[in-house]
Amino acid sequence: MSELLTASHITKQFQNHKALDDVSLSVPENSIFGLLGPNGAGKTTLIRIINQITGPDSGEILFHGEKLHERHIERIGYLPEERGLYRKMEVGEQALYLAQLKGLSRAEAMKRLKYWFEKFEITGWWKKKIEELSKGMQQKVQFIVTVLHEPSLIILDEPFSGFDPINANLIKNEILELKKKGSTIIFSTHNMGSVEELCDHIALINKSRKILDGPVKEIRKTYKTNTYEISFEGNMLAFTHNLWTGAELLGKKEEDGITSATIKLLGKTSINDVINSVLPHIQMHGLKEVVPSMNDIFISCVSAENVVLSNHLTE
Amino acid sequence: MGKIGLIIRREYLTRVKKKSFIVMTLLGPLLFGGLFIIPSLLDDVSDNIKNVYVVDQSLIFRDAIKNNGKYRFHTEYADQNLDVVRKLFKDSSNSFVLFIPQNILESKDLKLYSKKPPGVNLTTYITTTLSGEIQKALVGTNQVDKSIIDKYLKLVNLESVTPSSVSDQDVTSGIGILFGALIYMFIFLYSAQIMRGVMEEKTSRIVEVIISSVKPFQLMMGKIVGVAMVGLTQFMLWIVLSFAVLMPMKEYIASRTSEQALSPQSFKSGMPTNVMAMKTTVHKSGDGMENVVDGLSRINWPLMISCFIFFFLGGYLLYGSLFAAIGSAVDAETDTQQFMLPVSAPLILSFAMIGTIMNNPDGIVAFWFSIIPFTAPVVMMIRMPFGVPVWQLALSMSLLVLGFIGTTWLGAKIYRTGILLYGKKVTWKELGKWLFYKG
Repeated sequence: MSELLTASHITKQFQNHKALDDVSLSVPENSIFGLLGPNGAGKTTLIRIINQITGPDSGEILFHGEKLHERHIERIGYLPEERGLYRKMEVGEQALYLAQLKGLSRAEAMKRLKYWFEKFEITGWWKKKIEELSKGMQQKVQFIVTVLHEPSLIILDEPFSGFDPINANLIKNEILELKKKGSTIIFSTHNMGSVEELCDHIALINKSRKILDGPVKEIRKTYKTNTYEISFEGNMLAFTHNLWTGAELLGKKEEDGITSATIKLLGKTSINDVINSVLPHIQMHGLKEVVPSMNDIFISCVSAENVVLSNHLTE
Repeated sequence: MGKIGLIIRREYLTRVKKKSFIVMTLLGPLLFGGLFIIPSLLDDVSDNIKNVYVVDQSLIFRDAIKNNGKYRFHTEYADQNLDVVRKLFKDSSNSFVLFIPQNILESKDLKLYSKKPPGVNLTTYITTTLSGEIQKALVGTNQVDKSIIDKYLKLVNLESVTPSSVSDQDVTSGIGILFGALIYMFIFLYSAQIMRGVMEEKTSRIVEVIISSVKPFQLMMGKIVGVAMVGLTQFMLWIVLSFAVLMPMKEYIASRTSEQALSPQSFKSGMPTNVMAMKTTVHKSGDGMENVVDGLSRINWPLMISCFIFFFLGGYLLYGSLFAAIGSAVDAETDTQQFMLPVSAPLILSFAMIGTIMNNPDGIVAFWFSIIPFTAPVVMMIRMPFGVPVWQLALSMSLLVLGFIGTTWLGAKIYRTGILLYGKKVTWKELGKWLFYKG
């Protein structure tokens, strides 16, 4: 898999703070790339740099192996977090205008808009003014405008904010479909659920630095803590007793006579060893590995980083 | 069409299609026409009785012209020297001297001397009455047949003479003020439109979508040029419509007043109302705008109009990008005040200076104000009708071009930072910092 976009050592300094500090990341082609981070971490600044709205102080961005250039603008589609449309302008005219700004001819834009308007079942809106539409309706129009010129890179900044669940789902499906058609999608979000569902790769930015990146599966694997949840019927005391020193009991809960115990393997103990030793004493109902969610990883990384940073500051 | 072309097109079309634009475009000429017509109407309806001193060298019309409600005709000087009589009454603005030459039956010219242009009523009244008297005199002596009478009637011609030096000055000053005020108004009107357009894009949050497709500078310039074209369109339409409105208005007023003045008189003198005669006399007598027209014709209109367009565009571009910068820096219209006043102060100052400039259009104050780019557009337009040396015009124009390049550069720097900054109360110090941000 080749890289669609490579950012190397991007630094951007504003008057009073550093928005990006030596951030490098690469976005593989035809992937969905999640750009994560708490508010104010520098995600939007990075996205604006990729969109050439603003330039980095230092560092370089390669698009398809070429240094980022004005002509690449037409191959990028951007849905900013702060989004809106001309309120007094008609939907159709506005969509045509924005599409033409992205380099489509009027005729071509018209053809494609027809397709999308039919797909989203909004053909009746063409002559309406934006201010007559509800917020969700506006978002649909905005999404169409973002992808209309069939960009090879689509950048969505917080795409699900402001969408109702139905529209959010619609957009989610469109994102997956666009990926199927060969587009690469970068999206920035706080919504960790959508990250697990959609993203192949992520980069986590905190306090203007990248603190984590890679394929989602691998990251989750590295953050695995050898924790399992065993549910069973039987004597809890016998269960704990037979864990020996191979595992540590992290927690338990009981429901309808079934106990669920969360254990963490210690040392070189494998889960099979544990099962073998407890099996004679309990009636097994289920076993599953507890893999940390992206949410957990996000929180643990960010807070660990913040602790390190604050320690560093107090030293 | 390039991207900037697309932006210009959108900015232009959305504004031209607006109801407010159409209403303004239609109302403008009406107000404008009113400005011309109302003084001459007011003159006619004012209650002051006006005195007309008749110098009748032909001695035909002694006592023929009757006083009416508004005009009192004095014939006691009828046989005196014209110059003597004129000297006697030249200072009163309510006095007119009507001069009837000895050979009035052969020549065609009556002259009406006055300090101020006479109203339509008076000129119509005089020409109709005298036409009737001539007709009566000729028919009474049985000397001529009707065809000759008709010939005389057509030739009766009242020339209104107002002291030319004063009138010229008035017209010239009037034109200067008019164009100065137009420039002032246009710059304010359309710069404010830019500012509001920028704020609309910022507050509706569409700006980030657009500047991911075009450079902020392209967006700003597209808007400025688009709005300028709206302004020029409006100006052109106003000129065309003003003519379309002024012409019928002139006709209407002329015919209305001539009816009032003519009908009773022609019945009184026992003459059948002669439609032909009415038309000719009214047409020939002029309607008080004649000296305005004379004054207007002395002005170099092609130069005036092209300078107007140049200084409008120059001044507009100069202020436009500054207003765009203001629009980009604030979140709401109420926040614009603190920046608007300092930025537009020179413009307001130049308008306030009209009196001073007028008193001495070639003085040192007038010179400097017409050279400094921030005040030049208004002040230069005021000076133009009085004649401005070519080198001063050239210097002023070049500095204006440099000026707007400078403000555009400055405005663009603030603009591209401002449009992406939300929820921050901006200070002058902050704006200063933005000038030094890197792209």
